[in-house]
Amino acid sequence: MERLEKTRRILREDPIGDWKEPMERVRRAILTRVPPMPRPIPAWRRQVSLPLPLAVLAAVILIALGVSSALSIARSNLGFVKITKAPAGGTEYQFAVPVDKVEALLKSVGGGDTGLEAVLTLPKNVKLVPVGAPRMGKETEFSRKKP
Amino acid sequence: MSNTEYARPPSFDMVYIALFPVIYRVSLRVTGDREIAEDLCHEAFIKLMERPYLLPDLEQSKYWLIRVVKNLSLNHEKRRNREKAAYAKLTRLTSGVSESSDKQFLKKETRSDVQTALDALPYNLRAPLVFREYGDLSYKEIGAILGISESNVKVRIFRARERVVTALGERDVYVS
Repeated sequence: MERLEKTRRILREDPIGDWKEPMERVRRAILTRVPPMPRPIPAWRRQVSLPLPLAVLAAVILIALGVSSALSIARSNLGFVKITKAPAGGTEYQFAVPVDKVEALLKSVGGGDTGLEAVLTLPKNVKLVPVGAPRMGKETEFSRKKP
Repeated sequence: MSNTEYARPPSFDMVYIALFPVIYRVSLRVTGDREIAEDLCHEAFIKLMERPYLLPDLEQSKYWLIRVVKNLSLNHEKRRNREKAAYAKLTRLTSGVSESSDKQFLKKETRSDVQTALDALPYNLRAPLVFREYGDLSYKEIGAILGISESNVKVRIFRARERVVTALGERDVYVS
């Protein structure tokens, strides 16, 4: 035990020589060190600063665009009814309905008030051929080429 | 420790002035080479400077720096072992190289007996002994740095001291 304690003392008391000179050298090296080049930031992580009003405006425009596109999709898929007063005093109804609901719409139009004027907005790629009255059907359903 | 010290961590300059001697001493005792010890200190303090935030007090700074020095010195030790192995292989192949020239190649500078005894220790015994004697770290801290248990640290330090005693005894260094 005494031997080990003595060894500890010898280890601690053994001089390491001058450390002030290395200290100064290292300090100078640290101070004169060129700062590392900043890493290139990927485009998707790059940040930009915007004035707040501009940011709010951009957000509003984006939201408006989103809402309008969502509405147009909903109108084309779900259909809608628009009722406007015609200049002559009558009432004008505008319907936009999915293709599979057209027949039901026509039935309701044909069996109702004769004074009703309906404007049907159908997709341009749907071809309709008259098959009797008032029924209408798709060309593919009633093709004359069928045997 | 006062409240002010808790509130404001020591600046880089304060840490450098207070801890350079300790870090240099630890680096020197682990590597046994002044130039390499200086390089290790340089790298360790650069890493400290590049940290995004300062460490809260000097004790934690010392612990952090010694941990960095340990990683750097371990890399150096591995490189040195590779070089030694390559040199040994070369001397086996080349005839006419004397023992004294081998020693001159490996040890260019004069070392104290204590440093020679430390150099003779394997790294896994030398590092814990140096961290304990020159870094004043606790067994627990040394265990955390080296990734070993506290009891293992004690065993290693005991064995290291025994070997140093033997080495120094053979040289009749401590005749009191």
